[in-house]
Amino acid sequence: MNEMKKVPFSSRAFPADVTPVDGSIITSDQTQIIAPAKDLSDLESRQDRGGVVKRVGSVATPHFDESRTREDFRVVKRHILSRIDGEHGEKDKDPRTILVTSASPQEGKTTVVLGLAMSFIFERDYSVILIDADMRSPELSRRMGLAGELGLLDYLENDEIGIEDIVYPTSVKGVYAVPSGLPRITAPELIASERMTLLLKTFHDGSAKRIVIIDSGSVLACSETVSLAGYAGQLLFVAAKGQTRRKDIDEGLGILHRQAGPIDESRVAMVFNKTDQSRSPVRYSRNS
Amino acid sequence: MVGAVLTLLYDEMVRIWCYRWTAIITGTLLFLIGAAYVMRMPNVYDSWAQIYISKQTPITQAASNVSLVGNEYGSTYVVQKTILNDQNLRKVAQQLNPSLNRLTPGAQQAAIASLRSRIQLEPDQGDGFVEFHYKAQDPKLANRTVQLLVNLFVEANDDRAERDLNQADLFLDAQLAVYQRKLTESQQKLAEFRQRYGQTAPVADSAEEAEAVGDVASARAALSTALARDGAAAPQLDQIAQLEGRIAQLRLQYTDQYPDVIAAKQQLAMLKQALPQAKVGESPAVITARAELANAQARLRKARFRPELPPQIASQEAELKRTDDILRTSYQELLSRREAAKMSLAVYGANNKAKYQITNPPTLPAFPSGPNRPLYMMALVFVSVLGGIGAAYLRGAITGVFVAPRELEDAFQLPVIGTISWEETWHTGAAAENPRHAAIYVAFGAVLLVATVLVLFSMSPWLQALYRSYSATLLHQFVR
Repeated sequence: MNEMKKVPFSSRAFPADVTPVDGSIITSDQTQIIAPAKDLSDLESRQDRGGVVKRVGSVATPHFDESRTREDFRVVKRHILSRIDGEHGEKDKDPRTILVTSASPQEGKTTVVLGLAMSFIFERDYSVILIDADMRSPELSRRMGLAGELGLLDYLENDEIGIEDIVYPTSVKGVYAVPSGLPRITAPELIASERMTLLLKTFHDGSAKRIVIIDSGSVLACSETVSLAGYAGQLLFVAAKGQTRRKDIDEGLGILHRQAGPIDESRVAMVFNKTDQSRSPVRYSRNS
Repeated sequence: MVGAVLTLLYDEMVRIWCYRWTAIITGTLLFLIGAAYVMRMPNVYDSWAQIYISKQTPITQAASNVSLVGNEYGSTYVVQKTILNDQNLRKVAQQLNPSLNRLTPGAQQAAIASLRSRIQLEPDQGDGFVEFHYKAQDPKLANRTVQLLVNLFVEANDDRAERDLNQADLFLDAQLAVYQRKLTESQQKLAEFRQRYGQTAPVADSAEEAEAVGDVASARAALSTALARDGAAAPQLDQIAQLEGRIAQLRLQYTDQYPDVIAAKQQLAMLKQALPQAKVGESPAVITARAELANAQARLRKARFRPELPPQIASQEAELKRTDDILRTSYQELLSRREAAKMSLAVYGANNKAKYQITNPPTLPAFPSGPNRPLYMMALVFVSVLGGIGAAYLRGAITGVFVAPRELEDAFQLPVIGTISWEETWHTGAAAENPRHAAIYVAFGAVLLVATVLVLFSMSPWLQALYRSYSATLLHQFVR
């Protein structure tokens, strides 16, 4: 294994097993000036500013080519896109920021996020940025093979890190990933910080056809989810069949409603997850 | 409509399926507890005795046909009910438990009540068989109790027989006395009546009249034979005899004013006028026959003499006679019945077999008759399954999980924009991924299995016996 050059902007050491995908050695003169995020023209960049070649996140869900599941996700995607086009929601909350959450853990948030991402492959115009904001269990980062990589929390805490350092290309064209970063006690405060707003703004400013999907922790388990909901123009509330309790959903929606703006049909939609054979025909929502 | 109901049912089933582990655990626990209880139930031994009771007691024999009550007197039902009263049961309870008297009255009552609840009388098929059953955990106790009951029955029945004898005697005597008095009264009345109206109205005796008619007929026949022997044929005499017979017959039914009677009488008069008068030189036999005939005719006239009585008095007379007749018949019947009863009393009192017979002495059961463990176990399986399902349903209803997008939409008034199906392959396999969960499942299953085996084994004497004999065989083989 190559002993990589330590990058000065980071106060922490990279995990030892971080290996560039192509294994190329980056010289020090390739190091760029540290600057706040400007534009994202270099999202496709395979290297961070430290010159380290970034890992490539893998986007894969088991048996995703199963046609019915694909169809299920397509329906959800259509709904999201229709809301974006129809400019539903409040103006200060961009409908292109979509928060996927649920009342309690293990209800399939990450799966929904990944499925949606895969569904967006076929959208030629759109690109998708997946943000793993589930600080309790960064499942998305794990599944994409980006666990332990420089991520969201690192960016929010450390002004020296640029956006392009935390945005990773994935195995799928048009889909980018932001891992959660190293866990911190201050995660809720970091996520509520101005820098987070700035980050999202930067993502959307780069292109009108860029969609940000945030995989958050469950409402009842993670307090940062409420802050995240404040940014999101659309909320996807995942409920698992035969698992999610009515009481929990009530409570979760109540918290969101009190602390992150009104919960109404224009902003929040539910996804019924983990059904067996989709017995019920795919239903388009009332207001879509 | 039906579709909606089916959907609801399906949703409920799915909800129950979501809590299948609850159902399985609850059902298993229920079954284990229930099985332990059933296996722990003590064996029950049923001892019984059978007695044949003759329904014909002296009192029923004496009272049959005379009165309407008393036919049920000797029925087994009455016997059962009278024997199993509190007093008798107290005696039995005292014999079973000598210290009964030292208990509080409440405890005594409870002991008697429990004794009664365990005594079972087989329903009588109508043949007069009474079966006592007693169930106890100790076969000897059961046997002893039934023996005591049979003793009690014998004792009570002896008493009853004595009482019956006296009662029957008293009853018949009293009845006879009553009838005798009534009969005497009636005869007295009749005699008084005859005394008062006797001279003016001797009571016509139809028997006397019939006799006289017969005499006349035979005298006439004798006269006609005598005449025939003399050579002087007198065919009219036969006709006269016939006619008189006919008139007598008619008069039994009709009055003298009846046309047939009048016609017959006219014909008779004509025949008598035409009859040849007595001639000189007739044979002595003919003369005697004539005299006889005249005599008989005089008697008949006397018998037929019926003075006209006022209707009131006539009806009174008839009533008196009717009462007298009825009383006399009843009295005679009663008299003969008393004789019969006395005879059967003699038999009855001498031989107990006529009253009852112990057809089956109290048994000492070698095998338990209950409890019906297979039945209880089957019921238990049923209850366990239902209980498990019920628990799952309850849990589903309390926690309120969602099994259909429609429910979700109705609950929160938020659009459900999609359902995402997870096939088995699509499932991430939480249990498999997390080896700790799998280990918990396996451990739980193993514990349940071991517990089931242990419970069954420790509770069932039959299994234990099997195990002992099996291990003994093994040991035997090993030693050899």
